Amino acid sequence: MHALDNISLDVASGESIGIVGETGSGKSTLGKAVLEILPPRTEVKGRLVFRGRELGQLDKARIRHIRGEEIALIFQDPMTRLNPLMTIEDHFVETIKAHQRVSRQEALARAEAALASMRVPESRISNYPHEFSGGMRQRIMIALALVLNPSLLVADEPTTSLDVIVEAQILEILEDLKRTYKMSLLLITHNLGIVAEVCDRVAVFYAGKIVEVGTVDDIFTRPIHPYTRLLLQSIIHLDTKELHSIDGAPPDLVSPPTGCRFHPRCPYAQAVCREKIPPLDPFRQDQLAACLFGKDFL
Amino acid sequence: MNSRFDISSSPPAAITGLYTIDSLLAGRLDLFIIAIRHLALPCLTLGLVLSGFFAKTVRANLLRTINADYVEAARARGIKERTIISRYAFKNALIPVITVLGLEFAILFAGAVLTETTFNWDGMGRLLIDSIEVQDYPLIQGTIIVFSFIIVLISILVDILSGVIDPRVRY
Amino acid sequence: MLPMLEKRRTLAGVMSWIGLGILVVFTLIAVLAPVLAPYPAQGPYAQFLTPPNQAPSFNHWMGTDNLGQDVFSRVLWGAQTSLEVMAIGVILALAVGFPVGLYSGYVGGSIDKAILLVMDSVYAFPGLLLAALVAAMLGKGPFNIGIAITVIYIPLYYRVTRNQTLSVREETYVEAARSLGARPWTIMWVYIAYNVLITIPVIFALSAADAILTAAGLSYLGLGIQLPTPDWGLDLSVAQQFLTDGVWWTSFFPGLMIILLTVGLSFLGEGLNDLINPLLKKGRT
Repeated sequence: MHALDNISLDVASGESIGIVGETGSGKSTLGKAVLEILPPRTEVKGRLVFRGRELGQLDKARIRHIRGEEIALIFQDPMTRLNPLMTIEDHFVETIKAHQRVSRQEALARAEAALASMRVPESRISNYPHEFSGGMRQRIMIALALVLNPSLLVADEPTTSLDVIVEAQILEILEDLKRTYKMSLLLITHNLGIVAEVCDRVAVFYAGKIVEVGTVDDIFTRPIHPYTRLLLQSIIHLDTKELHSIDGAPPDLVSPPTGCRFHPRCPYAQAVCREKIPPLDPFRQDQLAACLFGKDFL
Repeated sequence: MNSRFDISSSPPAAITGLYTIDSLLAGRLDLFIIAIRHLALPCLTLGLVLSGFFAKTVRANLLRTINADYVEAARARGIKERTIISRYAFKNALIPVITVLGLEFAILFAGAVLTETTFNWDGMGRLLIDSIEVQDYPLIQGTIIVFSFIIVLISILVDILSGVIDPRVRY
Repeated sequence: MLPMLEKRRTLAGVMSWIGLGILVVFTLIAVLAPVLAPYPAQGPYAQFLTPPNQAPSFNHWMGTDNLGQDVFSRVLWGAQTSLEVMAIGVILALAVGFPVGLYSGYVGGSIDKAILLVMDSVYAFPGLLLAALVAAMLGKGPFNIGIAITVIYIPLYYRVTRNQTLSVREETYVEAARSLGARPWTIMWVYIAYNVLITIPVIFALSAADAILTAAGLSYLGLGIQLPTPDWGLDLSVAQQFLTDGVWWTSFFPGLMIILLTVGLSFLGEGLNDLINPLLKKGRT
């Protein structure tokens, strides 16, 4: 089964890209692939180039150092992502010392600074994970991810399991980071709303392939691919009178549909869509879509 | 007549009643060796049987923790794999194992009847079976009460130990 | 009823087949013992056929015991006794433990707590000792030993069933059935029992393995099957005294049978467990 098929994406420094897709579209796999923490029996074909270095060529020790220090990953479910037997202090000291030779006091100082920037009370640094709420834990996780000042932050559904208020706070923090530290952000989510708020560019995933890439402005106001259009249509606004959804369900990736993978659910599908796999073509400057009839949707 | 000691020598003076400790307290290393020699086979038997059970329990728990979310998160932070296995996977796997270990230890007080019979050892299990055979009800009741007491005591100790290791359990 | 288990050459699959094979062989031995055994295993015609404690030979494949009885025949007939005790014990335990566990788990409340208390107290007691107590009360003989075994394993079946019931009870289809007005009896037996049932074969095999050991242990201690009935545990305990004289066959072969049957049943149980558990997990996403 191919979780991802033929993905090509460039992230510039200081840029934030949103990866949007339904469950099973392969977006989480992408996040984990970037950090090379996929499960043992997965095969990765292709190139991951980070700051000019090809990650596939590096040895294990180098990759371990890149994780956390240069690329950081925050996960969706903060409740289970911290070791229940270690205090927050332990987590920070361990992370920092795993990459840099600093004294415990220095590490603690950095930890406290990171926590402060996430608005987590520093006095609670000796508490255990189970003594914190979900929102707090996510903030601690973000602080842990940022304490070594990585240049790329991969955020896999960082606010999905949190309530809207905490979500807003965290998004604010992410925007802040982008501005202050010029950190690149790969934001993986199914929520188009937060993408619109935080990201510069968007890549829309479907069934393991990219179906459209472009700036936030282009994607949200001038979408080309039918899937993107239907996604945007289904967003509920204050004046929504009728609910729109997309018929059908995401395809089985073990035996995906032939040709364009979206054709079974596409209201504009023609016979040729079943036969030819649409390439990701540029239809406007900086906007690519994988649809054989993209021209008609401009 | 039991097989805890040599027939030719006499066991050490009874302070605790345990031949190993008493012989050490009396400074008699030769008696200590004799006691250990007699302990070897019964202990090996019990240990061998239990080791299978523990191997299964530890394996099952380790499988659970090694795929845990916090392990994945730690790997994403670039923590060394060795540290992850010991500090994250193993330590967390050990918590339920300790509970089981404690309980098993308690049960063994009266539950090693077969070993005691085969090796001619005067244990509480043997006592219980013998009293059942002759239908000595006071002895049966007494043994069961003492045994239950031991189990409760050890259960409490295991609970306290769990609290020490696992911060989530503390009261 | 069982979902189609894919035919994969997995270790678990192989284990299950080996275990099942061993169980089938032993059942056949037990059923065909009268036909297969070359000599009678007990009674005046069995004893002193040849001088006692003779090493294995062409006439006596596993040698003779202290009464001159053919060990091979006793071992074959012993299969009957063991399987009989094990079958009675485990089947009755299932017959009692399953419905009680189902009811207890479904009903909840103070009834559940009361039954749980009783069951847990029995469960906490070391099996062999409890069986010894029950056997002492009931008297000796295969059926009574079977009852003693039943008593030990009822709490196990109760526990497993109850735990499964507790989780299945919260599934949405049960809630749906209840809201459609299904009677508790129907819900319990049609909806919940059906789904709990899939975990039973594993427990069945594993408790059967344990039952064999317990029954053998009881006879070994002298509280189970009595002479002259052929039984592996019994023969083991009698054979012990002659070990130092170099008579190994009287203890080796009964012991080997116990080990083989226990290992076979364990393989079956563990193999099934590895096969069924992933299926259970898949269904719970």
